[in-house]
Amino acid sequence: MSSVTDRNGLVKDGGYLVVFNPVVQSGKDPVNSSISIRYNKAMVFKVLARQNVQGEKYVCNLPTTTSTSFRSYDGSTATASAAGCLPARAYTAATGLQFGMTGVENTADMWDLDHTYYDRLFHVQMRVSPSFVRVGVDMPTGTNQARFQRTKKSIGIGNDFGWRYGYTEFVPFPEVDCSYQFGNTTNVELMPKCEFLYGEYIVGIPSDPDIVFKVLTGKEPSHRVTMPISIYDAAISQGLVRTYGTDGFRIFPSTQYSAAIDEYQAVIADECEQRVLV
Amino acid sequence: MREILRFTAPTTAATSGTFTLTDPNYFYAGATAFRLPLGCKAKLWSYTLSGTAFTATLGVSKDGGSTYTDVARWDLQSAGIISETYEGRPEVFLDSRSGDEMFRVTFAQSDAIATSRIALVVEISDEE
Repeated sequence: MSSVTDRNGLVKDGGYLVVFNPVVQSGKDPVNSSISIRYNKAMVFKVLARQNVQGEKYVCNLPTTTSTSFRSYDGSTATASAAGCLPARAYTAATGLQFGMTGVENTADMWDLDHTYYDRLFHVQMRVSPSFVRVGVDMPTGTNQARFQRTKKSIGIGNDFGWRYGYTEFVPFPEVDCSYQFGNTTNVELMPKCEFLYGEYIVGIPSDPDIVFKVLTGKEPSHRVTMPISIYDAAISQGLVRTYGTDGFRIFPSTQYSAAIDEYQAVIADECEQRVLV
Repeated sequence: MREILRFTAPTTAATSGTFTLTDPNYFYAGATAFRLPLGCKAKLWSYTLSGTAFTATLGVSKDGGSTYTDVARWDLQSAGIISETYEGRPEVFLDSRSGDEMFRVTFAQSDAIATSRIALVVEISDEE
């Protein structure tokens, strides 16, 4: 347990959350503009508070029905025998699964918000039982982002490798449509249990560039979650810009304080929506 | 990742056969064999045979169930119950590396009656 997370891995009140974009981008070196360098970006949030901190658990069946589409590991299609089932030797269709709920903003997906929820951010951990069910997240929906050797080979839930068993952690942003993928390689039709541990964070983007620099260089403790992507889909950047005004801060080496501060100041002043700053 | 499954099944009214193993928590229906998830080990924590006399044989396959090799045999010699738990040291009886590994349990009994039952506690794990 780090100093910013509780025993469940959720960020405590007042802590910082970094959502790291693993897709490397390229651009001019802010120190020497005659050369081009590669860099990553990250979203930096201060968690002002957490809502419903005493009860951040949600347990449910897999949201499948007898009409849910599945792909088969054996080359055909598969159907579930009953609601909540994951057929034998099958994995979810390209559109994946979303967890619907009545009375929420998007009744088809309980984790989906629009840009008016700029002050809220979900941090979602999901455990599936039995834990040998393969689990993945598509961001955005319908886009398998698992890749090997740059983007040479697609991997993931439906392939020989590139997946994980039973657990996933991610941060669904407002305006970015996401879905879950599930796979069952056994010969038995399963009735999985999905157990969510989530934080509904009340968040803002720090208005102090020095804080952003310290968080991104590790001088200020934070919890870091990596986006489950290999390709920076335009739907992600557009969703981030629509909600926050920016798609993140460039990560600088800890030795380039001045250049970083200048750029962060510009992002905060010129890009970020004023309403998201804290 | 580790998951404990409790496979259980009754004998059928036959002198020999293959148990239809099921886990009441996670299986929609039973199966006569279980295919290990790729990269996982199957570890036996305990077995229980109960009812009237029968023998049970654990078989493993590495070719998707075409052929099986027997790896354990348990014998309930008279009506009653036998049970053994591998305290803290479960036996790894199958290790998946191709995804084609399966196991099954067969039974044999002198009378064709459905009066007995087997229960296996098996850990499915991708850890040591």
